[in-house]
Amino acid sequence: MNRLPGIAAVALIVLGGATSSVSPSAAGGPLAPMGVATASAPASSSLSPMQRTTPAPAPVQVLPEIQVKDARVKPVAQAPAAPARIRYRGIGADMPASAVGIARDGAMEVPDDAAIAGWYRYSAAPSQRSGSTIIAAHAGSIPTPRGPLYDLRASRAGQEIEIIDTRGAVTRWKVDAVQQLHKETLDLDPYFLDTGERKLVLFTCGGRWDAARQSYEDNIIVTAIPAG
Amino acid sequence: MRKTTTIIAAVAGFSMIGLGAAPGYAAPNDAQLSVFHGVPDLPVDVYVNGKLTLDDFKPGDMAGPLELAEGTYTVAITAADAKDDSSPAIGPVDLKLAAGGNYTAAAHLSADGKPTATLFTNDTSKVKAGDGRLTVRHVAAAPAVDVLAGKDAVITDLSNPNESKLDLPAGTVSASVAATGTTKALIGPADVMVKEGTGTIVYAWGSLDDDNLALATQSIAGLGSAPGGVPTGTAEVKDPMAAQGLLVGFGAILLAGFAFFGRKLRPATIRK
Repeated sequence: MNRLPGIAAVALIVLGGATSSVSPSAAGGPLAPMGVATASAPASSSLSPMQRTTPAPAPVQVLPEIQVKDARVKPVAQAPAAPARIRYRGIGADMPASAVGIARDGAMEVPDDAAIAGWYRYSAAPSQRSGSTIIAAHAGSIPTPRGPLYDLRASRAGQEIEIIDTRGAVTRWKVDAVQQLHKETLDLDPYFLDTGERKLVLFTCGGRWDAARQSYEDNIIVTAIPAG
Repeated sequence: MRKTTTIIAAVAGFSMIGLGAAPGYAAPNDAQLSVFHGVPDLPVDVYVNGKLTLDDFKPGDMAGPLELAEGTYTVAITAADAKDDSSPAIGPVDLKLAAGGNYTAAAHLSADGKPTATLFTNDTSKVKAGDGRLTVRHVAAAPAVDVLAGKDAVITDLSNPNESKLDLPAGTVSASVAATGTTKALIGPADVMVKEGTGTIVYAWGSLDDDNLALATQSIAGLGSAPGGVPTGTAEVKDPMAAQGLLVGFGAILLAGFAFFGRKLRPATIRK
């Protein structure tokens, strides 16, 4: 405790550079109205005598128990197992999965070969407890002209899907919704959720083939929820 | 990865106290305040507006987030065995919190080793898909530092009590802190996970002279974005059902053709 003597009677405030600053309390009487804290305010080196202050205008709520956690840096936790295989017997699909990220243009990466499903690596892993697991595959590709997920367009609610992860654990899902939506106007935010109810979302494409863009116009999106 | 719009400050491994945990107490526009204790060897009590709020708060701990209505809060930090807040070790200091703001108040040593407090505002703007945000706060009794990711200085000349931040592709960074202009690690290297769609805040705290410099981290979730598109469908699939229909049709035409021409081609009766 070598630093305490002499400090107890002193309020020494340092104003942060690019951040909100901490204002010294007013000397004597009720708190003066506080100006907006700015980074350009001079660093306060004057020592104001320590004193009790009158309560601030904003009331303190009755605080629920406050979580306190050791914030010291720890070894990075092992990542949860990624999907290794997708089985959707209802459409005859049984295919390997591979983790993918973001392409240079900001779109989700999709494996070149339609025979391989891409798992969006920033989405929930199968063993995680919340959020959506995102899987996408081309409907067709040069290596595999008609991919296993081409038939997502024929999905029906209630059909079962299995995911096997890289540690062999199996999660089971049942189809809840099937949609075909125009890519140009599709809002992906509601599908790419990291929190909330557990979902599995499968993407492929369909609709009209746009020869000018060399792409299908629509995404076919199958949403499934945990089964039993 | 886009998160829901609730901003929650979390520390590794723990489920969070968010708006849902205290129904009836939290309003949508509340400010969120976390408190970091970065003064080594000094367990403390923390008083907010004269009321004991954190009891026996240990160095290296992060508390909160506290959901607080917009306003100004007076914080006093006393030794952990103090009877009340009349002789604080730090403060009292007034923290002005705006509605919806996300803050961390850090108790820490100044560059020359005196206990002090700084209120930081946490950046809750969105990061682009695939990225996380790394913020480093220098709250240690130490001169200006560089922050290295692997061997590269990604932040230079950062001094107490300032912060520097950058958005970068999500992944694990081998982070170390060196005196500015040098590469010899004063702290680390330590693995820091820059999580996608999340703000990872790293505090360099402690004292160089006392040889207890260390890193602490805090996460701000909910900053992610969905990708720009899911570009499946780069090769047209010739629908086999349509192809079959075509074959059947063609076959029917062929047969009809044989029947028609067959009559014509039948040889005339051969005369003897």
